[in-house]
Amino acid sequence: MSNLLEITGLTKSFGGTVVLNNVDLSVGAGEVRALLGENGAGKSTLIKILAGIHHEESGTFAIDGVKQTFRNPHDSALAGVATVHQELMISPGLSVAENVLLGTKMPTRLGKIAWGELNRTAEKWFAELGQKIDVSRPVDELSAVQMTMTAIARALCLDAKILILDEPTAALTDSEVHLLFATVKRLRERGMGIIYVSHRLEEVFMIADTYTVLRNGSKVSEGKVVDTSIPEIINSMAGREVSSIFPDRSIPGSNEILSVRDLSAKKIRGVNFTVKAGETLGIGGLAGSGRSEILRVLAGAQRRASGTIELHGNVYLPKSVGGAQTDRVVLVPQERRRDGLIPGSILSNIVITTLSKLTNFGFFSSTRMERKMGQAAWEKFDIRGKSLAQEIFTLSGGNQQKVVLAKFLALSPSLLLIDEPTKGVDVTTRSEIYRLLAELAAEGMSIIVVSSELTELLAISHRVLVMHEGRQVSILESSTTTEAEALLACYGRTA
Amino acid sequence: MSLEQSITQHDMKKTTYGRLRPFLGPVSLLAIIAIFGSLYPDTFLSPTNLVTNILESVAFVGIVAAAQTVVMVVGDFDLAVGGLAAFATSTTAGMLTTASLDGTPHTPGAVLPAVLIGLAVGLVGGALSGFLVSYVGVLAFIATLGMAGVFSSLAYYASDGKPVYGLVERNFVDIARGTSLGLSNKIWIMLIFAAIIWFILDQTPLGRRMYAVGGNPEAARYSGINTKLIRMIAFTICGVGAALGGLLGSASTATANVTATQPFMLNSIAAVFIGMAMFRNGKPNLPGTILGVITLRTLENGLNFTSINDFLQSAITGAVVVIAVIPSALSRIRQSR
Repeated sequence: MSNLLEITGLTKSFGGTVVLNNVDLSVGAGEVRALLGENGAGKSTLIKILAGIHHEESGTFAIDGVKQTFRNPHDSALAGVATVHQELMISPGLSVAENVLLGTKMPTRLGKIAWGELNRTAEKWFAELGQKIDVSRPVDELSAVQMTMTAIARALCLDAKILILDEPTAALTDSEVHLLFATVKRLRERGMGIIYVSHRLEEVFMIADTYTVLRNGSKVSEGKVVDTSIPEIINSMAGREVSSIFPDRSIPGSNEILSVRDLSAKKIRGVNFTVKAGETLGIGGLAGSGRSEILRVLAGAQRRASGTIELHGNVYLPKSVGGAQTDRVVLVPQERRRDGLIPGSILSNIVITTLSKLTNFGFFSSTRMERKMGQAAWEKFDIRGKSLAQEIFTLSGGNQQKVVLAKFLALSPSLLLIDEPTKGVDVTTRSEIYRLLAELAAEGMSIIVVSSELTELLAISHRVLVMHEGRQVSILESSTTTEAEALLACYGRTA
Repeated sequence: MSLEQSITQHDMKKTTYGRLRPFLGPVSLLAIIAIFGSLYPDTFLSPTNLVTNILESVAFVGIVAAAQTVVMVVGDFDLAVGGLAAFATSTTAGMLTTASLDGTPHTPGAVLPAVLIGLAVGLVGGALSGFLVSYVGVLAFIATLGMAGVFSSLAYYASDGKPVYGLVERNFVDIARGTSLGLSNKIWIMLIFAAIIWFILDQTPLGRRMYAVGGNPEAARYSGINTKLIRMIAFTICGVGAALGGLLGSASTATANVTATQPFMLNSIAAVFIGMAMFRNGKPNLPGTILGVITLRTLENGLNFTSINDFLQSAITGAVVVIAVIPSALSRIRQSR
């Protein structure tokens, strides 16, 4: 019997960085396959290819033995693939029934929507899921799990054969999770093939039949869930990297630069830590655990709810990003494209943080001074491009990241906050970035780095603070902590 | 050659359209002149027509379009320029007229304070729109559409709904009608205002930050730029420009008429779009805007010589604006794939 979904040799890269490398994956009828991996392992890219959002570079996939190429999400839906994204694609303001039947030919009478029939059809699909919901209610009034059910009901009525559930339980309570699982089991009995993506490994053991683990875009292991264990999967997810790309850590100074006590803000509660001069503090945890929020509060990009922060022994309350920069606290944001770069030339991006200094008579911009500064950054950060005038987004991810670093380091920070410094960056540039950060620390700069990659985090920081669901789990000494221990902490467990 | 220009030239080497883009504007302007010139060599090509009817009459919209460029650089629109110009103008006119609204004689006030108050109305009005957009967070489209209504209504109220005649104060009308160094003052004022805007946008940190905010507001914020203040400043500059354009128009006709400023909004935005399509990789820019204003006006003027029905002429100008921006729109779609 051929599989419902058969993926062979799927490969995809973005701007020269390979994010999916020759991945095979299959899902049979009535099979729930868990797709696992750390952030950035390639799970989302794989899902997005199946959903018709991204296009494969090479490799093929077949549904029911028929080879498919999706030009857009519509093609994907026609071929019988339905995706329930983490951010649910529901249309607020419309009723539950309308949301379920939105992609179909809605039942009408004389051109007017036949509400009775519409509601009955929607109710029928919910009944298939074992659910009873008043489908005439506005969808906004539903609970989180009911909204997920609505998205699944829509998949059913589009006659989907393959259902992709991307982190479906992220917003659900425990009892809601059980409700969802009951539904998933019904769908399995109907012969649907299900790809289940989740960071919660316990759930995988409750619901999945098989699993596939991705790391750095490649498949590293797969098998039956009954034949494995949580620690084994964690080891497989974390893997082992060549350690030589990491430079030696310098010894930090003794005086404290930053002291954070009982810090609470949106998504973080009661965080305590200190950073010494020349020290690199790592912050780890799963995506959404509050890692980035700590940086954003320190950088003046997000408001603090309570707690105290002291910088160089003085109370520190940044009101804006600009204000924090005046105190030489500088954030290098995570999403290069969204938060780091401005469409335009390399040079215009490098100088944007220091425009006021690069002026004649403090008033008008000096082309000469800007060029000089750009040229110096070009050499110092070894930016590989055609010229300073090149459009920023035509550079590779690694070189874009160098420009981002150049732009923020131009502010000569005393405390550098850096979020995912090597996301979507090739291995050569990675080691260059590690070397740069090590040099800056050796010169006495304090650095707080957030990363989803534990190998990286443990190798470049002196200590690692681990966050779990907005709370601080522990602060680990990098030199005496194994990656598996750190990963356990990321899941909220202490060894 | 400024830094931004050299950068743009580099980027444009990529595509045929990119390579041709800097020539599109001047070439289409020359083509328009050539077509109407060969059809009506004596009238259209006469110096009076080219200078008086085209260049001088472009001054009012030119100033407003230069101001509109600033708002569009930060990524917004100001739909209130016409209304604000009318309000500023009727405020000044009320102080300078020789005839009160009820027909009784009125002693005109001093010209300079009256003009400054008119400009101040523009500044405050622009700052108000900017505050709504930037600090209150109302969409620019809605905020400035609403303010357009408020300002026009105030303008009608201040002038009792009638044009204000009798702005005969020499010092006032000479602002527009006089000449200096052989050129009309109108043209001088537009050139000076355009030069100031160009200087701000291209040569100062303020202008560069405005482009940064328009390019990617989040990245600009993380770069330490006070994006809210920058946006409000842009609207404020735009308000002053709108008032100046309106005042110059009323000095030129010795009349303050609310309907005279109505074309400001569409014409200024159209001019900026034409300028964006021609230069700077599709970003709003001052030289492009000025060329855009002149192109639009030349086309309108040329059409006046033809036997094409007056009402259809606007359809042709409108179509030209849309056609002008198609190539850049298409190249943007191609890039995003």
